[in-house]
Amino acid sequence: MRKWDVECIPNPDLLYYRVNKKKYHEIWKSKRVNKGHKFPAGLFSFAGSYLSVDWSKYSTPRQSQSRARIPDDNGIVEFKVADVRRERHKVRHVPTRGNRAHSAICGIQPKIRITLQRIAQWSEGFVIDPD
Amino acid sequence: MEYRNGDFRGQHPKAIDVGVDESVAGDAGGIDGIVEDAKQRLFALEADWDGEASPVFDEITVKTAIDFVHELSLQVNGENLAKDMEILPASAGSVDLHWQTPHFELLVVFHADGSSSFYGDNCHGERSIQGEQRPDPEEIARWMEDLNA
Repeated sequence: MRKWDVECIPNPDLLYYRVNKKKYHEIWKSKRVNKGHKFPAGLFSFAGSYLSVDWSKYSTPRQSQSRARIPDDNGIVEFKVADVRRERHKVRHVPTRGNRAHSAICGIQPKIRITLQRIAQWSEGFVIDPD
Repeated sequence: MEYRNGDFRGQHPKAIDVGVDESVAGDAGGIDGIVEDAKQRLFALEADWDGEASPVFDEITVKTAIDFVHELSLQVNGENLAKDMEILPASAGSVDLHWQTPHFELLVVFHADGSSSFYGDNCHGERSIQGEQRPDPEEIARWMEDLNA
């Protein structure tokens, strides 16, 4: 497999993030208040100091879902790059050998998670139904 | 003030009132009930509870989060602290303390490696506080009070 060049991600583009159904339902079961919020902050999992996402230039929601261990167990949410950067988070293209779309949102974890719960939208056709 | 089984209970003499209902001011009963429920839920979760290979919750991480709640409850009176507080499982063995109120949102993360980080604002990205260490309960109490004023 070839090594991909790192590119600048334009503000109008989208980032896709996989949400595991087990996690989604377990966090909702654990919540006692604020049930009206669509995306609990706990949905967004960090790999060390960053959150892994897929850049829409090189991935569709379906392709992003297909990279999961069990694809059908995952929904997809999306964020506009501009909305992420507006909160002063860094968005970087970090392609891996197996995934040219791989990108990272970097910053202080709880701030990123609060930002994402506010701006996230389900990708059409990849919604997790509530229990 | 009393220190029992690693937990502070009672009311700090300098406690700040950020609540709306004086009848429950200083009542740690609500907090204790929420804490006990949360502990049971967290410790009942098995490895891979999130489908992302998260481990079971470590007692020390949960205790660290709960100790912070009790320390904060010594500084903050009122039902708001308990009413809007969530103690939630997060990835990789972390525990979230999360408040979403009409006046502020605050997320404190207790990581499985013993570190902590936090962020809060007025729900519009303003008047924020943040850090990559355990927050100071007194500082958090003053911030909550300011945003509730």
